[in-house]
Amino acid sequence: MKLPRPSCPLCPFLLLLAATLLAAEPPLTLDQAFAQVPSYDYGQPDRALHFLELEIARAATDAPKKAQLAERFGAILADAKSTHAAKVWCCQQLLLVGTEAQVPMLAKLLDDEKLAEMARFTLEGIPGEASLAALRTCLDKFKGTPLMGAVNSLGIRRDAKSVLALAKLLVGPDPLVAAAAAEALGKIGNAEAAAALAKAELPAKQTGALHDAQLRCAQLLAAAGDAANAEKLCEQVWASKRPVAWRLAGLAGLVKVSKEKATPLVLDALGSDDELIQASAVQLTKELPGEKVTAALVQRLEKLDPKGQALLLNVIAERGDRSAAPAVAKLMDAKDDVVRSAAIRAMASLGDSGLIPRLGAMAANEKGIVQQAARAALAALSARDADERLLAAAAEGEPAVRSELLRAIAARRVPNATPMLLKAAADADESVRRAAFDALGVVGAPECYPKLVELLVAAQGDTQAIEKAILAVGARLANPADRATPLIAALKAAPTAAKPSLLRVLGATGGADALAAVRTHIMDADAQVRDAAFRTLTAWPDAEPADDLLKMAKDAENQRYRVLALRGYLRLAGEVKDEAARLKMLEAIRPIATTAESKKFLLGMLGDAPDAGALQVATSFLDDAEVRSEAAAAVLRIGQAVLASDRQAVVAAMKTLLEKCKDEAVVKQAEALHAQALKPPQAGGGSVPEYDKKRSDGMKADVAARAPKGYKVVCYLNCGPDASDGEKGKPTLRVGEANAYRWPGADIRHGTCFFTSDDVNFEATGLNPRKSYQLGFSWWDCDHDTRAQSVWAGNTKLLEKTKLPSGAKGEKAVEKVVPIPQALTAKGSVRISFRNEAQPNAVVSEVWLLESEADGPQGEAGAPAPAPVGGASLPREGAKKVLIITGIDYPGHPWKQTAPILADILRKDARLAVDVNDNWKAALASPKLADYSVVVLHMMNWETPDPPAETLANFQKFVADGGGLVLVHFACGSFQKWPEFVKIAGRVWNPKMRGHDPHGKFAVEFTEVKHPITEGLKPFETLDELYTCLDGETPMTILAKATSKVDKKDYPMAFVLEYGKGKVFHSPLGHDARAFAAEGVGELFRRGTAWAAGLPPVAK
Amino acid sequence: MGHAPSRRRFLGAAAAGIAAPYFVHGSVLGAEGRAAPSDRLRTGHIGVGGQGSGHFGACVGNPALQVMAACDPYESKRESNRSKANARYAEQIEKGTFKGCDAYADFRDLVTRDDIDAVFIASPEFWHALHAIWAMRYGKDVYCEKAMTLTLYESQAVRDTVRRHRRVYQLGTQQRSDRNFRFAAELALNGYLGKVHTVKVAVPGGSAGLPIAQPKPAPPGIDYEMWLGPAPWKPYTDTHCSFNWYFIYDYCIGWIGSWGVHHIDSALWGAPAFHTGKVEIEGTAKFPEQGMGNCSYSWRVNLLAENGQRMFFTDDGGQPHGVRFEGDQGWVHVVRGGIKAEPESLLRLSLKPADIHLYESHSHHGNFFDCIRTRRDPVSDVDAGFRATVTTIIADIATRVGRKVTFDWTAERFVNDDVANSYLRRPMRSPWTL
Repeated sequence: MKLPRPSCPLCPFLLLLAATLLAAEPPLTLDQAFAQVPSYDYGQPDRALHFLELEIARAATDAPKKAQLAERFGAILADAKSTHAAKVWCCQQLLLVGTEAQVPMLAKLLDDEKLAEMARFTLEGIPGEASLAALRTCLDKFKGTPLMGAVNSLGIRRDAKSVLALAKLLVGPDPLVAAAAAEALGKIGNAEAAAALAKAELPAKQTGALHDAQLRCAQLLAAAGDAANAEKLCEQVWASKRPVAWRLAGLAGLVKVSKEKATPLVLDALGSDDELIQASAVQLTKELPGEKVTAALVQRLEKLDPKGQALLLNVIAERGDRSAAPAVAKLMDAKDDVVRSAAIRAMASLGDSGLIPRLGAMAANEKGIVQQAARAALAALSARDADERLLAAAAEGEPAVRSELLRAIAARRVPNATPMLLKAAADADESVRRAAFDALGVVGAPECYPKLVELLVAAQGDTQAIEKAILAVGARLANPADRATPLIAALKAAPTAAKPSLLRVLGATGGADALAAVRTHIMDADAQVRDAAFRTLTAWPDAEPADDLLKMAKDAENQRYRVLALRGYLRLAGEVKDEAARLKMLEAIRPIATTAESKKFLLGMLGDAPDAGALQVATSFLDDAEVRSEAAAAVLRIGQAVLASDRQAVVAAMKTLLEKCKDEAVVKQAEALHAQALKPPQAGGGSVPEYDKKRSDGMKADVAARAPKGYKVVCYLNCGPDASDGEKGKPTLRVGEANAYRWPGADIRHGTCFFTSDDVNFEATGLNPRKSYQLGFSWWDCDHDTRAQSVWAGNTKLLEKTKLPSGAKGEKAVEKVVPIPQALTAKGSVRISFRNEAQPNAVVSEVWLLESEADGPQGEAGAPAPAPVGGASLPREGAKKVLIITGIDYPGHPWKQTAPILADILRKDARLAVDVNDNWKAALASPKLADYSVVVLHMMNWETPDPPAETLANFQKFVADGGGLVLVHFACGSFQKWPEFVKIAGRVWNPKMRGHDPHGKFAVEFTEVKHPITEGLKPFETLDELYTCLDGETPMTILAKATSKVDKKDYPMAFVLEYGKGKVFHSPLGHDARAFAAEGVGELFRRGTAWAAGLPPVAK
Repeated sequence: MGHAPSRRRFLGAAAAGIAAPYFVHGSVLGAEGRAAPSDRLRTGHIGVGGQGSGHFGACVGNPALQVMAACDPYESKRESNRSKANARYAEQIEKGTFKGCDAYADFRDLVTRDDIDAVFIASPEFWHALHAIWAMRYGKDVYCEKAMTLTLYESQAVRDTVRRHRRVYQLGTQQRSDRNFRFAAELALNGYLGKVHTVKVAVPGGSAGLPIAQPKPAPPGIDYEMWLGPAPWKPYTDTHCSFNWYFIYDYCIGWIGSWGVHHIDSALWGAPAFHTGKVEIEGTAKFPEQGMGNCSYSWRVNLLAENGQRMFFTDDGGQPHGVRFEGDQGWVHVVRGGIKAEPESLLRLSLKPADIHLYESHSHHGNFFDCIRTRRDPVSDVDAGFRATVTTIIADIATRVGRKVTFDWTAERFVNDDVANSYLRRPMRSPWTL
């Protein structure tokens, strides 16, 4: 039976039938599905069950069909051959389609120990007397937990006939059963149940059920019309000693049943010392409406403590009962500010417009929360004539008060206020004028725009308020062109004194006409006008005048203007969102700064608009001898300002500065700033910038440029700002439930992330089954050195637990690409997760999806291996295979950390293909060892016996037959009981000698510089243990040494020898991750390994 | 149970009716820079996995609170959170002013304590009702993660318990404390979009399938009985116990509910007609054909309210993610972290005093704590939670029965459809009940 697919997903009127994904297997029929059920067991294929769960709901459209289906489930249940799992599942399905017909069979199952629970469960869900009767029999049959289940079911079914039996259980020996009985009685809630509950007592851990049941009874009794018993029950509860919360619930119940009885109790409770009782009582008054209660509340109000007063005032306000107004008004003068504010606010709904003068005075003269309350009350005053009275009151009186009233007019959006406001705008008092203009800005009718312009022209003194008002009203003009026109006209006719403000407003208005008008005034006779025109250009709302400004920066008549123009231009540049365009603008300035003076100005100005672009331009001046010190100062200053938003740029700039400038003071500051920029940001991060498509697209293009051959980036998320990417019908990537975060001071790309404590997951949907996919991502442990994560697609691990690069140690984010098995993506969607495998949580900075260009399965072989960017490169064809053997060492040697590090170091040579095997015993014994060109021994069998002789022989043969061998650090301590080892390794650990210098810095120098391994290498410093314990007499060539700080003797740090046909490179360096950090160490191991593999140490 | 009578607390701005975030008045802060122990609100946490750890950590870091206990059937989860708390409280523990945070496998041990005021619940959804109701019966206020419950019956039970016991209950639909979602609803309610004819809601769909998992003995370190609770018994597997429970119908109706409740809640805030009177619903969905997962992962559900408004509720393969109100004079589309509108000037609009102003909250936690003091309903109160959760439940049921159904919000049942109604309640495994 094939079901049609929905055609138009958004067609509302189509009756859409269910669509299950068309699987590779043929669709099931009802009969086929039922046939598969009896043999179903946990962990077995379950298509039939899935099918039936949905099918029965759809098929049971009438009673006969339902009965038929129920019978089929019943038959499976009754069949002894059906599995337990099948029977349990059938019981669940009977909840949908079961009828009385199944009750006898289910009742029989109550005697089957294995199925009694499920049978009870199902009986609960089948309506009708028959199932109830069966459930009742359980009260005698069952004990313990199953008995509780039966009691629960009878309670859910509200079976009055069970009350007697339940009452017996209520006083029985088992408190858990008693609690269940109490709960059931509460649901039944008739008078007998109430009576039984009233007398009951249960231990502390079961009182919850009892108390709730008693309250429920009260509710149900009241609903059934038995008010008397309901009241009694509630009063009893309220009169109990404790717990307080339950008592209050009793009081609340009483309020519902009998307001009359409850009111005095609630009123009394208002004065309680217990805050919970007081606050709850206040809320309860909401359910006691009416003037009488309001009067009683008002009476109580004065006697309460300030806390209670504040709470009660809020609630009185909500009652809206104006009879409370006089008492509340008194409290407007209370001593306690909190009470005062509550009273003032309450008057907004209780008071009449006569309050306006007093509220105005408070708003003008009070401070803090009282002033806020007065303003809020004026804004919310509900009296019908409030607007009218406000307009009248604001027309005269004390200026400070008038200002507050004008403010309220704006807050209330009083209609038709414009005429009155225009009058006030011409008032003698400046503060009134200002408030009037502010209000006009909010509510002024668009028609008053020309009048405002007039007022601006006529104004004396400070015109800021008018200018703001004009702009605000202008924004409300239906036709934007109408904004500039009156201003331009006014400009032509205005007296000189008025022109500057007109120009300013024109500037803020923007637009081509306005720009043209402003331009003509650049050459005005009056200096102030020229000045205003100038400044307006520099403050233009868009980048239109950029070229004007550039020209002015070069040609303006006096230096001040050139400086202003430059400043304006730089500001405009600073607002350009596109980084490339901004940089272009900054670079356009450079040529006009031809004299030392102008360059210095430019550098100074760059400091005023600090960003990465400005930093770059400033840095470029470091080569200019004329202004080097100013440039250095600018770089430092801008770097300091940019530190919070772009640490990477600062790091780069400081590096350049240190290279180019040798001034001691500068160097000191630069080093300090550099160190600061490397340091992880401190607490206080969080706020993630908003999604910016352009920015994300730029990052997407960047990762696309590095996409593996044959793949393109189809989705990209900059984790944090971006939640999803992709279009309908195409691959889409979207984050699951995760938190977005930005590390303070970190860049937007890698410094924003998604995080969760367990795993950050994404859904990739809309995948094409014909293509293959890879997952790209970048991650960064910005503020710790502890995070490690694994990567999964569905339940398949794509990447083993891997430590993230640590920002705390100055490491940068790392990118990885891993293929996703096509079997997983062929379904069309897959869930990607990054799982926390360490501390403190899982983070990911970017995620992207790569789709193959070609069709067809590509499998693992076709997809390139993951390669960290900036780290190891991909091995070439014909690369020599290298095996790092590890998996055991002295406890202080973190081989789990260092083995991967060493692997990456070696992989930087593309001629080496490196594998890591941590099963050292198996690896050494394996015949597959011969497949490798070099074995790197990165282990020591600490407190573990040497492997069997055959294993050692296998290893020995490998080297003797021509295999290369590299020994790292404590490998020299391996196989202490094997005499041949010293001949292979050259030197071995002698426990009787002094082990090593204390861990610290020392210099490694080359004793043999003509050897291919060391040719051209310079001495380097490293942080490690200087081994002094190597012993043996095998002939070997020492390549490098270090001098012990303890005994001043020299010890070998690298040496080579041959064993049979095999070449051996041995270095005792490499105690931990830090020991591999110095570039020289990596270089040495790389060359040594290449040499042992038979390659020239350095690629040609 | 209840509060020690000697506790001092200062209501401050909350009492004056100003919508201020929760704070403790400066004079109450002790030498440790925190409120004295007797003045702090004491919290317990049931379910400290992924989401729950977040709440736990936030409370530990809040100087006005004292975290008393963590509860989880996973030993590792409850112990790691307990250590987190005790590390933070180290000074107090040393001084003897705090005996240390506890850890339980059984939530009943936590909720029956006398010294806990509020409980955070972040267990799997099929447990929400039991945890919340137990906590409230013992006098605790509750912050419960969404969805409110698994079934409509459970939501009714939670709602009734909140009202009967006068508890403060906040559902974790935190978009109600996000200004953009409130503003979008206000635009819709106050006619700024003209007549709103359509509401579109889309959320992520969830997993398209889980493996057929093999049963095995439950490992030590998880109390499987406490994990399973009221759900029908099945043997332990590694697949169903963490995160994947979202996609298994015994535990959750799927992301149509678990994610859907967020945006549906925001949609209902601006279009209350969808929880009034009778609503017609029809829908289809895609369900996995086999494996442990049996919840829908892609759906299209259409709702028709009595006033003619239509809602299209889908997974975000079918519509752009978010909540969108469309009127004959404009539209607004809101997601977490962004809001768009046409005309764009709508975004700069400020409401008039006479407009409907929705409940203003700036912090979902803060609002919860304020209301604990004042005993007012918080912003995501139980009624709002009921409506949003039930809307997703009935949408899911509509996709399962595959025919048009009508839901009556007054009777809180489907009209003339027994089978649809049988989904509204599920029996619970012994000894659990509501």
